[in-house]
Amino acid sequence: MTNFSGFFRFAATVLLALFSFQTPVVGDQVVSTSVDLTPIFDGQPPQSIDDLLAMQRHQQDLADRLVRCTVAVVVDSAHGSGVIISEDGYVLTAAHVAGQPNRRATIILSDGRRVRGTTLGCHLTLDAGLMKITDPGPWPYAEMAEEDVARRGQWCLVTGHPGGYQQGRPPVVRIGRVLSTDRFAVTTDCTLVGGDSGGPLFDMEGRVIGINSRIGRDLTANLHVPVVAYRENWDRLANGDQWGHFPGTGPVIGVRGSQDSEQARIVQVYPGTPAEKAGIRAGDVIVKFNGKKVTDFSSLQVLVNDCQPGDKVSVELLRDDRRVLLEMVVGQQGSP
Amino acid sequence: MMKRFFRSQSAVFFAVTMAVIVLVFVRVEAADQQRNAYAIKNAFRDVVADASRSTVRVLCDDRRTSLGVIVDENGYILTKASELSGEVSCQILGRDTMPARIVAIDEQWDLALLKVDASDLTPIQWSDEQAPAVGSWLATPGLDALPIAIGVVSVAPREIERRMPALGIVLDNSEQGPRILRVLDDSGAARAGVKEGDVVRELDGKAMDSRETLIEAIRQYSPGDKVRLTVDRGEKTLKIEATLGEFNSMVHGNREEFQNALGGQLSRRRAGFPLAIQHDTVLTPSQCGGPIVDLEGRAIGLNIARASRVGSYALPAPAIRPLLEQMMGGTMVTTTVAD
Repeated sequence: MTNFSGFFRFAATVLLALFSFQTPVVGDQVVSTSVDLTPIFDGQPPQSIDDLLAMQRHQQDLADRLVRCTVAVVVDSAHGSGVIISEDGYVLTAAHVAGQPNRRATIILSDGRRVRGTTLGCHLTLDAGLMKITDPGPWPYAEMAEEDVARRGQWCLVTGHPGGYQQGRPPVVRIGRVLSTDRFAVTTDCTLVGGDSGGPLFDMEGRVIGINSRIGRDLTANLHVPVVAYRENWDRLANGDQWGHFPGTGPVIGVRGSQDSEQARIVQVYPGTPAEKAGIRAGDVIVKFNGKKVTDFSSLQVLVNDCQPGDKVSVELLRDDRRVLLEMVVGQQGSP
Repeated sequence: MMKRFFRSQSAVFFAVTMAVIVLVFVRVEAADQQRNAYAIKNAFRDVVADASRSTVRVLCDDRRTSLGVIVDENGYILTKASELSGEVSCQILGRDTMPARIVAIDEQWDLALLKVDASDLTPIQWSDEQAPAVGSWLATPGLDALPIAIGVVSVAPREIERRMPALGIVLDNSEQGPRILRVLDDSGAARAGVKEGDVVRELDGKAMDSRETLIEAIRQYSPGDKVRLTVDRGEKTLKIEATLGEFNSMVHGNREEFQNALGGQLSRRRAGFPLAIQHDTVLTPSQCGGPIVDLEGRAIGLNIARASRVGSYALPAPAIRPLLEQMMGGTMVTTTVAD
């Protein structure tokens, strides 16, 4: 208990110190110019060694505090990272680390201590996963940013367990800048690799603005789930819902339609797909899918997306003014 | 009139110029907001001013192999040992390329001490500190006014365990010697054409009388090393050269290796250091071997490896200094005072 209250006092000091920064003592000479770090961390280039020293002192404090909120998570054979975001032990991670709801997990704190936890909900499409430490807290935690605060050019800090948890190695700190943001991802030049998944991306106030998710070929292709994905879906995640689909693994029925038409008229049926196997033909107008009304082609797409590959669904369609009823097994993208 | 204009060279030139400007503009826009943007590196100009005079480029058979750091005014240069091969020479800012000879090598730390014929070089200023805190700025000087790249301390100094090598074979003991029960797919053994049932006679000329001897012998190598095997296959005796892989990736699959290789080449020797600072500076293998400095411009260590997609390693200055004294024979440091 005593340890933690000390920690929170320390954390508060760092936050308060953010906007009125004193540069540190250099040699015997005390430099008293205070550097305003806000424009620099927003993306204005530092101009002097004083600026860099001020950034550095802030980065050191931030790293020390944020490493303690970073965890390694082990769910079955999956190893990843996570970040504690509440005193009672909610842990944000990636959906592809948490896997499925209500599974037992081991959570390894930054000092190597192992505690018990459970997986909660997963929003597969955005790769957002939630877990909770089930041992009694309190736990050191970082704040989630209030809204979507990531801005191009701003500085940011990443922690996690690249290559998986290694005994004796605390979470690994990297600092970089936000390169772009959209609804699906924040992209930074904080380099990530397998094992970092689920670890946090922080802004320079130490708030979680993203969760490490995926990488591309270039060193500048490091993608993080925007924190808004967790805020907007908090209740479903906390209730242990799993929904959506990992990119490239979603449900598919194998038809093409016209987006601007006022009905869901099928333009083409691809060979070997569930639609063809069920007997759907070009020219058919789909009016009901899985018991729900279809108004146009995009409403059909939404209904298909709500299915899981393998689901057995009913399809009602109009063909030459006749009503036809069919049954279909939903397929999966990328599989034959 | 218009027709003539569009057919003229100036119109073509105009069009080409526009395209180039747009391209450059887009690239600058994108590069501008990166950590390694010119404007950011420019802020480190004074930080590396001294250290870049103590940084050398090391060439092997005229190929840019690595960097090095001047440790004594009388031509002593410290660099990464495992990158060296062939004729070694050094480039120092404002001088002709100088031939170098290898004076000493420390295998454990992967350091080599080179000597060039010069007596008025600028030695590096090592930091007295134990190691900068996690989150501290680091700059890697090159031979220019701006640093090659910047980064921060990611992990405090720790031992980096060596990566275990593996040939990719499962063995048992036969009367003739170690016999191969199975060859793993995609392994160095498979690529070299090692077959089930082969009996290993020799490894690099040394006789192998049992499974245990062979395993122990392979463990002395590093992943990426080449070994020469002499094997008995039926009536025939064959000589086979195979490249060793890494034990972990052979057991757990090479997904990790694949991901780490995304975004650039890694140093061949990138593990097995008694103590190293992990930092997030993006370097190429040929940018390793030189000094890395803190904001006061003092060398906190020597970049020893590009280790993964997310990190590089630096040997800490406090570990290097006693090694240096040993490598220089404990005398050179004092003899520089006279002039």
